[in-house]
Amino acid sequence: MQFATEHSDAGENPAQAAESTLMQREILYALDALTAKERAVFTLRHYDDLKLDVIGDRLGVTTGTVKSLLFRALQKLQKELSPLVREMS
Amino acid sequence: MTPCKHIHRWLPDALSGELDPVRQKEFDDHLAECTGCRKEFETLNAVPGKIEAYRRPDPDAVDWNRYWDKLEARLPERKPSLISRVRFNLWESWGMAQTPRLALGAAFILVVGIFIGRAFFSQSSPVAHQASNDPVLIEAGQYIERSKLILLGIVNTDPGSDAAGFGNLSKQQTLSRKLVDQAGPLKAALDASRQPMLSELVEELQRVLIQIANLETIDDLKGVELIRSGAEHNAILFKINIGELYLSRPESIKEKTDRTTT
Repeated sequence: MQFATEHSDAGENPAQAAESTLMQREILYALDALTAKERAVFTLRHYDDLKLDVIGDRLGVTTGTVKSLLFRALQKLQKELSPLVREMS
Repeated sequence: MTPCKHIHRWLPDALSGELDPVRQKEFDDHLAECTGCRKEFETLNAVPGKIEAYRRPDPDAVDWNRYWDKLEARLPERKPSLISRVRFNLWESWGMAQTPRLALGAAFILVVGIFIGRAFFSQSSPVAHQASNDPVLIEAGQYIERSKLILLGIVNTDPGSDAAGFGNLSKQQTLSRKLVDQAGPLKAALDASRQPMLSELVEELQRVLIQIANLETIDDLKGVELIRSGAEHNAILFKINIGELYLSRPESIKEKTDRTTT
């Protein structure tokens, strides 16, 4: 997973590039605000597309715990990112 | 209608797409009528999509090679005559006495000895460890790591301020000769594995290592300075870092596996 912050995509104007870069940084900060387990569950689920029981096996926790961790991760991310998303939409 | 507190309890399952059909229907019916719960579900459900919208893909092998080519193009044109001039001028301008040169020699042996020790005796480098699925990439990682250690020993010694004299270089010269011999087969293997960037890096390192192996005397300041200026001129340490970053990507293992299985 990577959120490049140094270069913008070709075709973006400066304002879009700045917004995009700002959002990428905010996302990194938001992911940083999660606990290690929450971050692991979130990334395994949404970036590696793993099923909940597989994530549970990998992390050594029950599927119920995975669901709780994922839910908490989503709540925290939503809380961290919502002001910026609202401002930009 | 199902109470809101039940819906809240089902939210983690619903967000994971793991509600059983009966509860899923109750959940959907509730959301159709309850604005608060619907908004909460939709907000949380949209988080991964928002993040995904700003996500950039990790650069693949093609991107790394393209960046390598751009880097080559940005480096100033190589001018051997300029290096020769610098080498001559430094040699002429130092005019150092024998005693301080010997003192620097002792310091240099210490620094280089540490690097050589790490190169010879370390069990595994971080780069080699991460690329452990592919023998060619393992060898490339070890080659880069050892070359870097030798080069750092030379680049990080400052004859101008520390004193003078570089002492006995025989150990790093021995290792350099060994690495020079390894370079040909390794380069062929990297070419066969379609790793042009690593192949070029090995070739560049081989050139530097030949210079180190061919240093004439134990205090060949001119030769050492030539190596240092050449390394700086060609941004070789930066290229080594790029090579290590490239090798440390999990994709470098995956790509190789994909290639061999198709």
